[in-house]
Amino acid sequence: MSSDISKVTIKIDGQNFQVSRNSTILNAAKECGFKIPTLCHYEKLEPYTSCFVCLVEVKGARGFVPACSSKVSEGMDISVSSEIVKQARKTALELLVSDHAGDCEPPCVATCPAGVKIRDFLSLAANGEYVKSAQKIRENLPFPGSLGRVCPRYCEDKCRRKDVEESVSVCFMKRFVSDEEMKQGGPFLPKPSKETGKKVAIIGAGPAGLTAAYFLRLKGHSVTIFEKHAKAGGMLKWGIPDYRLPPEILDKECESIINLGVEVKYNTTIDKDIFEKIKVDFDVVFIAIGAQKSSDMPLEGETDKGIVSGIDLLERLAKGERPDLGAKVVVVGGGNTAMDAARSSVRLGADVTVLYRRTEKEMPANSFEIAEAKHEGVKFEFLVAPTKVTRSGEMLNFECIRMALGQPDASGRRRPVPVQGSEFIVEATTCITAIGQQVDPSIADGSNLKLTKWGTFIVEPKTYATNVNGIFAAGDCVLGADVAVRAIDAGRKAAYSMDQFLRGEKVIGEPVKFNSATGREGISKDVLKNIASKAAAKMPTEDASQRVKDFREVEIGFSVNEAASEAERCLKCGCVEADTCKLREYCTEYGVDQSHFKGELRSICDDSTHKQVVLESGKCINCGICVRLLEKEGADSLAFIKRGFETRVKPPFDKQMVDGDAVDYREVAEACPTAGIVLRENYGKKGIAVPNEQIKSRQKKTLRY
Amino acid sequence: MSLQNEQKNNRIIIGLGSCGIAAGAKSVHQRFSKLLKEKGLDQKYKIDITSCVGMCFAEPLVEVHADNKRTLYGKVDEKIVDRIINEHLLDGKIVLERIIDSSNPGTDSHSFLSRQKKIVLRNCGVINPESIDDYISVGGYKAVEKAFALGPSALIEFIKSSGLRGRGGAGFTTGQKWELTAKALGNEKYVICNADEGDPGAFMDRSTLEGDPHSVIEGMLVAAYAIGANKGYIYCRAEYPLALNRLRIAIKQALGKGFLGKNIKKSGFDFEIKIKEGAGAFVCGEETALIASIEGRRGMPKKRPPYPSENGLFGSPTNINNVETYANVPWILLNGSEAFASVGTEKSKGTKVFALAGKVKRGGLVEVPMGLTIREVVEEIGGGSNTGRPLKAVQMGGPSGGCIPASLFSTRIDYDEVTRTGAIMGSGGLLVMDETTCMVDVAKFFLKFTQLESCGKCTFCRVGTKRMLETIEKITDGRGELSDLTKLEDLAKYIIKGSLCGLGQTAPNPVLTTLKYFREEWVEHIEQKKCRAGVCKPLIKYIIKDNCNGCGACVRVCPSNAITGAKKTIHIINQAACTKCSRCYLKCNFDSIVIE
Repeated sequence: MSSDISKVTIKIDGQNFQVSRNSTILNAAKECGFKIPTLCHYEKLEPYTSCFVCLVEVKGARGFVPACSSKVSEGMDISVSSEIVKQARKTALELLVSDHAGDCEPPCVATCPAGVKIRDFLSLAANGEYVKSAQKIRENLPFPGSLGRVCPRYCEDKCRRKDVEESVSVCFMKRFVSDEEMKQGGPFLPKPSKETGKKVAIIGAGPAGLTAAYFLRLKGHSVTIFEKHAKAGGMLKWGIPDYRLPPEILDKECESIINLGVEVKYNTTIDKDIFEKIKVDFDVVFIAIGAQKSSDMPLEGETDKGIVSGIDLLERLAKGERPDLGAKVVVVGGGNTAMDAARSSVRLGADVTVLYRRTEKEMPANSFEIAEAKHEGVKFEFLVAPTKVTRSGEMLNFECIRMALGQPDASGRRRPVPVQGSEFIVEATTCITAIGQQVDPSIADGSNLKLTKWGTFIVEPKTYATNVNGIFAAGDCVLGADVAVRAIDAGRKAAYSMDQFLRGEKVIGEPVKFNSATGREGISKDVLKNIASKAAAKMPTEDASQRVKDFREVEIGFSVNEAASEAERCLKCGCVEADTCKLREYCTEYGVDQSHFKGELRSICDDSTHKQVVLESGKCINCGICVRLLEKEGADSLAFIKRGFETRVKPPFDKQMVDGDAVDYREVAEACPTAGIVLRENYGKKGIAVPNEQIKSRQKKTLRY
Repeated sequence: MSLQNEQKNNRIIIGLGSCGIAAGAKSVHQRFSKLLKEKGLDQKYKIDITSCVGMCFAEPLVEVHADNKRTLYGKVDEKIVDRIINEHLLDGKIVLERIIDSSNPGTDSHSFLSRQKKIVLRNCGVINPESIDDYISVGGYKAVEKAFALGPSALIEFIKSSGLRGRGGAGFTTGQKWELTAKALGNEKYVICNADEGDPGAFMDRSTLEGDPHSVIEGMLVAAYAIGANKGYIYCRAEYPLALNRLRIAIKQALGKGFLGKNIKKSGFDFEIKIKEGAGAFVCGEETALIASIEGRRGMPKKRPPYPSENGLFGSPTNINNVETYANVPWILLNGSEAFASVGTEKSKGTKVFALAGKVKRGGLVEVPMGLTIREVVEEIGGGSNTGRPLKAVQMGGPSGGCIPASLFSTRIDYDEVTRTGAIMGSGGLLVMDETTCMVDVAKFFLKFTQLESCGKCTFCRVGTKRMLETIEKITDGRGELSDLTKLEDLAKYIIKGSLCGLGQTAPNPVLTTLKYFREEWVEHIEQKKCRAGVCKPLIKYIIKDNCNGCGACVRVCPSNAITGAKKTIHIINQAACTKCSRCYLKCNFDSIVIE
């Protein structure tokens, strides 16, 4: 027993503490330096106990004990951070978010492999702040001008505006703000931090390598890039034709990064000896060598002459060569490289046919690339595969066979199977193969770096650390040939881990915030119906008859007016409390999986009738802090209604917020642990639309969702 | 309709409880009034009413007192009324077909009554519940005098020594509860009678209130005196209009006779009772939610401790017992705590009232001494299966309870023994099931009930039970996976351990007990997509066998024109059109339609 009668001795996680006799477990634990999460507890109110996130174990007690409403007692043995307790809290949180009709991040941001802050850069663009807008993009992705031209635009697929009429042209807007920034003398990059004296070696100056260089330089580390080519840019440079990405744009963006003080050793192929030396000379090594080796086509009688790989052709073009392919070109393959090769061949004066063994539906190339190729006169033969080649004079004769689609394979696409007896001949002067690329992992020869059977590097997925201490790898050499935006994302995340490594911190990688992504399901079609339809701005392009004559850029770019109009089409999705939400904080801390419990989701019925606050019922967790605070004021503007799963906090009966008592809701809104009730002023500050409300900004009517 | 009670007057007593009224007792009552007058017998025979005696299977019941002889008739309708008057009253010949002879072994009524022990229901079906004089004539309000004579502390000791435990479900010792409330500091104290009987199919408290409201009032009065409370509340659900009406009459009569009000029987003790009608939320049967509801707030439970005995209604020490508990109290005072303690088992004293229902021959309200086995209640009192098919389980304790399989029918009616099976004694629902009951469906039914009735406060209860229910629905729809069973058990564990009140803490019980005792049925639903009881519609198919004689009866009842076939040829059910309504199956006289 303690001598002070106002105190009791308790045990928390095995340690003894003296705490005030009247305190709750929650407060006592806090006093003793333990953090117990809670959502429904609010200092000024009596304990309520509804969220069950503050659960602890007390020796001898039946079941879990809610810390917020349980008093300490002499000798109490409390466990606040055992695995059992953590799992219970995680389960409570997973149940709460299984009924959370709201998105933390807008769907575009959640979808973007690089997590570009799309809503925010569009909002800056809408205000004409183009430099700031480009800089906002660069927080995640240091190539807005290049990716603004070549990105596959996954974000646009998930754009909610699509449910109204068309997605916002996010990619073109990225290009627009970057072009405007360059017109003003940009890119304008931030200044690197104070030098740390740590040395990083990066192998490969492609999107992954340069992105890592960018973020590591900003952190003040010294960066040296080893590049086998004479120029930087990697596959953006060598694998994408000029008519899609003009070289001066990419060069400018690469230079801007290099100008932060990055040393690049060009024309340097890393062999075993150099690699060993690099490992000694540098504090950390980042392998970003890409997947630049073309896959061979299994073809009987293959001849060297007249058959070239797509990436070899594209590289020659990038170096300024303009080879003669003859009058008739066949391209074998269905990916973006195949499209690039086909459209480039058109520009070299050939009649071009693409042979693909599946149907158009299964083509991995972006649909807009396929459409542009068709537009430029490229012909397509689907369900066809060449099997044998013979030469007769200048012409190559390809024996082809027709295919039919069978059962789905591992990729989920239906496997093509040959149709016996369907052989036919295709003639060509040149055949371009574009059936895939591989990693050349010879750098790893003699080292103990672990590789997959495909020759890609094995890394820890969150940190990009290889099995060798101090060596990291990312980009195509880990993923296999993939899109630039994913290589850039990997480069940034790897840089984050390398920075941790260089600082001697635990390497845990970039923190990933929990993201609720159930808003889409909760949206009623009625809400979207109220949004005034507005067509997307059309990207002006060079006339097809003219553009096929040379390698000039096909897309001309938005005018300022077109860009302004497009930026305003953004519905400003996402949550106004995304950065302050306690639910999100705890879900991140406890590693919550929102899809662990699947089932019915509350519908969204927001109330924005009040001038001070907005009720976002989809995000309410029924903690009742608002109801209880208002009750203290003698107000009953909010109450619990219905029972069971349908229990909601709402204005009672058929009332709306506007009908409620005339009280100041500031504290109520600020006390809400989520975005269940939000101060109206916060939407403007965060650039997020008020739900259910026609916004009058710039005489345009838009609504969230 | 006790046959033991001497009654010299010539009387016709008609059972007018809710069950009797539902079976047609009102028209029986009217027919008697009309005919007695017409035949000029209204001077000789007085018509009286009483309430439920528990024999729901034989309602409406009429007891005839004529020529110093009592005769009990069951299943009386207007035609039988005519015959009773013409044959029995006028000719002196008893209408033998409808007679209920409880003294004769081998008859239904004898089997039904002989194993029962009536303490709580001692006056139900015996006295006129709307007459305080009737109550007084059987010893009513004598217990109060004894209580006053003992004084509060001796009174509490007396109740403690009887071993009475709360009949609301949890079984906390009543005397101890009174003692805690008596010792708690507070100027104002309250007693509350929990009459918010919400379990589906339970009607023990309703029958008690309808049949003997004064015993409950007297029990409350004794409790109030013991703990020093001057105010009492009866929290009764508004869906019990007859019970509420009789309570109001009883309170008015008790006030008139000075058993309520100021300075009761010159003891210096004041006590008043208010009735609070509940709006039908199941959770308001939970004591903290019930208190919130009386206070005018939304019925949502609070964390205990503090318990109501310390911090209850309006923040004052409050004693809450349920109807059955209070109804025991006057009997204990009149007959002695030893007499009470001599009934029952070591830790469960006295009797327990059950609403016996489901697949039994004799369903109704029964009061049995603790310690009887489930088999004795089901087989001997209930008469066993009413379908001829073997019994499979009993569901005890309603939505908070669980299913006890036939293999455990030797379990005794005892708080602790029942709890060991995974079920709970609960307030007294006893649902008997045979092979045509699907145990997965039973679990789904009760969980659906608790899910809808959750107050929505605790995360685990509000969302967790919903997710459990959705998982069960997935299984009964034929989309289940074996891993779902582990998911159910896992989530159930958290709901039990992470909910504030009994509703959440017990909601998973029906799922867990069926998973424990009937797991193979769950697995069958998942692996073979089969419901052996033929209940889960997506998993069954009605087919017509070769012995169909083509009578066409099924065709005529089918609402979706799914059955075709020429007359006198074997018919066929179009499965795509069949809605699985079961009408054909029930209609077929030749057992030609079977469930596959």
